[in-house]
Amino acid sequence: MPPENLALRPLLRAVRAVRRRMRGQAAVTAAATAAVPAGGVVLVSVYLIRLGALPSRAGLLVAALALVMVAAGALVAALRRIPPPSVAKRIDSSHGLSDRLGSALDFAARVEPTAFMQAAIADGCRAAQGIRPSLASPWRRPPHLAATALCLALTVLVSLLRFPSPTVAALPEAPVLPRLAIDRDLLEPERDLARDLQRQAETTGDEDLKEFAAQMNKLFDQLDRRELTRKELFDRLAELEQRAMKGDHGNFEELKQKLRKAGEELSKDALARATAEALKRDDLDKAKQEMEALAKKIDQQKADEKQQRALAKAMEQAAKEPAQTPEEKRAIEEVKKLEEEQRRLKREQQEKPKDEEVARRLQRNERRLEQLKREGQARADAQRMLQRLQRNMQSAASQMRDQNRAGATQAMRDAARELGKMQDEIRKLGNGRKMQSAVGELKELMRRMAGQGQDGQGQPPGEGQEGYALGEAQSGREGNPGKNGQNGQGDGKSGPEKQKLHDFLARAKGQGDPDGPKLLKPGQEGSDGQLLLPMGQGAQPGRDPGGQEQGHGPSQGAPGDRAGDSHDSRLTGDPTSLGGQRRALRAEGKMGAGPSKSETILGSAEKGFASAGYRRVYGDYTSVVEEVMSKEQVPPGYRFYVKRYFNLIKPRE
Amino acid sequence: MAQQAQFEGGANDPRVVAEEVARFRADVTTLRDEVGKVIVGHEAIVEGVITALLAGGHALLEGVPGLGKTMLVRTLAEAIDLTFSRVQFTPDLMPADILGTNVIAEDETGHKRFEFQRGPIFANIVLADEINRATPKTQSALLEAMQEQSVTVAKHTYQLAPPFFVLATQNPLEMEGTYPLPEAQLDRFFFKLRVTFPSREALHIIMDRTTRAESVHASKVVSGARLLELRELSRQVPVARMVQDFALRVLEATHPSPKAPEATRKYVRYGASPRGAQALLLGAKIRALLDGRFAASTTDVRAVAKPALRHRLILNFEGEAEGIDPDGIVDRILEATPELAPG
Repeated sequence: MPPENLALRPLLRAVRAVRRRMRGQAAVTAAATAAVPAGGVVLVSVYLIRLGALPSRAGLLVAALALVMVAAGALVAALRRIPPPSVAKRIDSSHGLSDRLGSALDFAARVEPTAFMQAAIADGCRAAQGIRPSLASPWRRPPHLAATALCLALTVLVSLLRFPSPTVAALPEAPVLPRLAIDRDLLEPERDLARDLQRQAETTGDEDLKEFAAQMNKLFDQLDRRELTRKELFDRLAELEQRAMKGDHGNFEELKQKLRKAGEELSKDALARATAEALKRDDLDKAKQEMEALAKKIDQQKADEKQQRALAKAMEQAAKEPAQTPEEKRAIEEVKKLEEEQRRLKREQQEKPKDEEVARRLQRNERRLEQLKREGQARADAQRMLQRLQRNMQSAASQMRDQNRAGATQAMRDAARELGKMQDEIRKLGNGRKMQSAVGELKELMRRMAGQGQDGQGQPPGEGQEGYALGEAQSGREGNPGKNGQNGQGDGKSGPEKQKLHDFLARAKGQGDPDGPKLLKPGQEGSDGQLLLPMGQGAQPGRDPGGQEQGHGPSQGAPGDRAGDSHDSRLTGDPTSLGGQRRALRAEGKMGAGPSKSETILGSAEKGFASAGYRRVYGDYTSVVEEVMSKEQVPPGYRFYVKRYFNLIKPRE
Repeated sequence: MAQQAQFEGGANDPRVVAEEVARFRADVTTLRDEVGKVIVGHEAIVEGVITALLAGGHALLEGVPGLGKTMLVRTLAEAIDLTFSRVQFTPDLMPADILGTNVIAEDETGHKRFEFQRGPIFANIVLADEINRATPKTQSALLEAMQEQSVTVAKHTYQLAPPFFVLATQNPLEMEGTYPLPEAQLDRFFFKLRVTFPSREALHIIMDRTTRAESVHASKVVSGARLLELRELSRQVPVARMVQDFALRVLEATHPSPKAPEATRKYVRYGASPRGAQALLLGAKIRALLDGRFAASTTDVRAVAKPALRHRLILNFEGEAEGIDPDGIVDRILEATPELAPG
């Protein structure tokens, strides 16, 4: 140390002492200032940790970062350069030294200080000996200490607060739809139907039908494996129904009628009688074969000239354009009437644009008109086929008169081909309707099971709650309480409705429960039971208004198909009190024929045994029933059971 | 002179410096006390006048009549062994009345020649009483004398004997028929001191002293030579750079620049000249010596700021119209100026 600085030692010592305090004060102030944002960060992180948005490890990291931030702030402030004149000024000001120290430091730095300067330096050093660093740099409260304390307090408060579960609320899981579990027995009739359709498709080569049958079988397999939910099943059924409805606008009833008329004309000729009989029976395949056979006979000259003339005459008669059927006339009239009504309604709508009733009627009219036009189109298609057949027959008749055997033969073969085409079209239409019927039946079955809590919803049979109590089904007659009712109690294995279906199937197949109601058989008195079709008005009218999927039908719903188990709520007066006095009575059934309108045939008909095959009879009745159900307003409950009954009694190979 | 030589011989010895400073204090204290025997209640004015005297400058005393301004100057002249003259400024006062003039004089041989007849300015202490009553022409006759300490008459320059000290007084109330001093004239005054009304206690003492039969007079306690030594010593007082920097920043703050305080920017047309900074530092040095210190401080600069700057601030129209006191502006400047340069 230079000698001149030795004299400055007290001065420099004082300056260093004060500077240390100033650095400390600056460090504390900077730390407090840095602690405000650091505390804010910690507060936010603690809050997020308490909410579970941040892991605890992240909280530790944030806390460490905050500490580093505070320490860095303090360090930077402490290491910041403080010029000695500033320190000296602070000392002079605090001690009233009139810049003695500052001047001394300044003069000490001069190269050649004057005597006055040396005296001033000495004076400054003397003054420095008496200074107090605490007076020069007193500890002051950091300006941001309150904010820092507030952050700290809030952090502690947040960390102590009880928050809801730290786990982030789980996203709502998509509801897992239960898989359908349907008793295999319940689907057996539909499965049989699908097999029939497949066989028929293979026989006729109808690719659409074959595809449809394959889809149905696949659907049944998936149902067996419980791979489908209710929604998926209905979606698939909707697809199948769309496929089945494709091209379903035909109407061959009038065509058949006209062909029968033609058959009557043809039957007047001996040669064409077989063909005529086939036409009258609507057996167009047979008619085709017979026509081809007839053509061959003409070609091989097995018919003489007279026979040919007679045949030509019969064919000409058969080929005449028959008069319009009443249905055709009625349809044409209706179209005219509807078109007139349509025009009127449109005018009315223009006058009253806000009249909802007019708009509704107009819309209904449009729908009906469109339907009639579709039917008219189908009718026209059929008429064109008939006209081709008629032309061929007229051509054959003309050729026969002209002794042009080859031409006549060719025309008759063309006629036979037309008959084949007709048969194909009719068969296709029939197949489409069968497909629709199969889909509809399956949908109806699903609806009914859903409505009665029967679809199992993925639970194995016997484990599901039978959510429907039929009550003590009052089946059977007096004295024969019937096991049916007991089964309906819901023993956890089979519900009452399910049991009813099983019973129904068994009865329809002739395999009824020996203890339960049975189908009446010849020779049996009606004391054991009777066929029970649960078609009562029911206590739950209209539970499935208008159908679930198709949206058809009235909005007020159809009546239930079960026996009711309670009173109508609209009844006036007190309901029957169960607590009233009762008297147990046993009503005995009367033996004998009784006033029943039914007639029991105990033996074979006098005319002999039925000669018509079961298959044909079944077909006739089925078509009648289907026609009735398509035209008449039949309650869905009835419709289901009728269809199912006919399915069950369908002739099998 | 012997004292001065003694001091100069030990100029490099701090101990001698300390002794000189102590003697300085003692002499000035003696002078102050001697003046204080006559002048009561104007200690600050006395100190300001003495400071101006020691700094080699001139002082302008402003105050209403009857406050003892003239008495103060006369007492000071009595206390110091110096020649004293008083000039009562009136509107008809001519420069020659102050400076002197050539008159025809006949010598022993009968030859007539021009002889310069010295005016009242040829004294060590000149009291220019009510200086603002004289015409500017006469006022300006003082300019050369005050600044150059010489008088030029008829192409002949006459040096004024040192120390030359002008004490001017003016009445701030009776402004009618007066000629306010021009800025250049004002700048020649080292200090402008405001003589205020004395306190009651001071008045009691004044009454006691001035209503008795015997009158009080000051004795000569300081010679002119000693005064020059003291003046020399005061100029040797060092000033630290930071103090000088503070004085210069104060000076700069008197100018209406963008960095100046708002009061300056609003009311000042032109600030102090470098003479103002000289006055600040010289005044600070003397004040430091009077305080027994060896270096001037910012405190000293602050203490002399008002007398050194108040007459050097030229107010603008707004300041004049609103009657702004320059002392207020100086106060604002001192408040706004940090003692250490920022950064």
